[in-house]
Amino acid sequence: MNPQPLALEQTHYIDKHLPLVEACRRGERKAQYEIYRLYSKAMFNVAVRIVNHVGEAEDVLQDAFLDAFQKIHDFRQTSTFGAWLKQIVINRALNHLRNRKVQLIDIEEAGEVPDEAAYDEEGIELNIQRVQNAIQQLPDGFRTVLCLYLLEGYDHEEIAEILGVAESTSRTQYIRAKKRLLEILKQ
Amino acid sequence: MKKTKIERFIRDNRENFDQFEVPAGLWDRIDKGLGNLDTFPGETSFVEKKNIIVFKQKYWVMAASLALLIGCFFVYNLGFKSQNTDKIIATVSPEYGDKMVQYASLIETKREEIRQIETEDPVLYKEFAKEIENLNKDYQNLKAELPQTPNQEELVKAMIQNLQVQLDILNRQLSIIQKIKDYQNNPTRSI
Repeated sequence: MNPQPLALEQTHYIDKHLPLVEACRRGERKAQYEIYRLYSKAMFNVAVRIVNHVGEAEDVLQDAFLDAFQKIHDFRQTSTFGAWLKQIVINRALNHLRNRKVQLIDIEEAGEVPDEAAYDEEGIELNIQRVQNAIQQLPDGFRTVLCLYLLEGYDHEEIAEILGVAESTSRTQYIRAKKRLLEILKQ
Repeated sequence: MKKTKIERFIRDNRENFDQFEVPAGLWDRIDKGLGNLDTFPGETSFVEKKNIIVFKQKYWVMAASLALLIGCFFVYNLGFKSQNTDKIIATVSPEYGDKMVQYASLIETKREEIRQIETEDPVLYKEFAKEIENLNKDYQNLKAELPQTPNQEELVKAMIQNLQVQLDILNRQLSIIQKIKDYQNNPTRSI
């Protein structure tokens, strides 16, 4: 019956910005700005990673925030507000990619799945800037899955749902993306 | 699956990957977008707005007096009618009359209790209230029919049944609210 401390912490986290969210529900502009101030940087980076273009990410973020404030009555507190908002940003960004007629899953290479053990990561120099640049050089489909998994913290089941593909597709796509990333880093 | 070197590196340096700063001026665009949502499309100038306000004010006075007049008429009529229906119900069966009074007061108390969640969860409250409001509308329709209907006893029974359904739903709504409260107090326990 006794709630574990971890769970308590979690509810505390969920409730942290709840008064702000409530004020947004009433359409208070000041609260909306506060939410923007708190979340815009993280959300902007999510959008930049997916659309791979700063200017387009700005449009995506604008639409996503307008969307979120309009739909804020739908936010049911089943997740944190941040997670809910992130989902909107990702959906907007993916739609943006789809409008560019981007193939989110590479069909060509569908047959070949690289062996996970075949990586040779030795001798690869890792620093933030190099990895960031390498991610930006990935094809859109690879970059999307890799970022959703490694940076946004979704598992393959969730990614499969977001992209509307099978879980196994998300897995193989991720393995290929990681392989390509290492190849770029080796250059 | 064991994490590879690159996976560990990204995980351990996660915050450093948010390198891009939000372009200045984006909030202004969002603010403008929100403004357009709030008001009607098509800007009106200040002078025009002022004129409209004066114009509207005149109309408001007229509309208010008209509404008051109509209100008085309805209150008079309804009061008369409801007295009338109460009398009919009492003639059909005094027992039914007592039951209805009892149900009505129970419904009132329970609705009052549910109203307490209005500030905490306005969406849920709206949904709950709408459910009862719909039934209440049916009830009022039945009530209005009562003076003319040839089979008054059947209709009174239908009215009582309606009140019972209302009570039933209210009880269920209250138990849902209780469950939500329990869950919020103790999220680790499954519902």
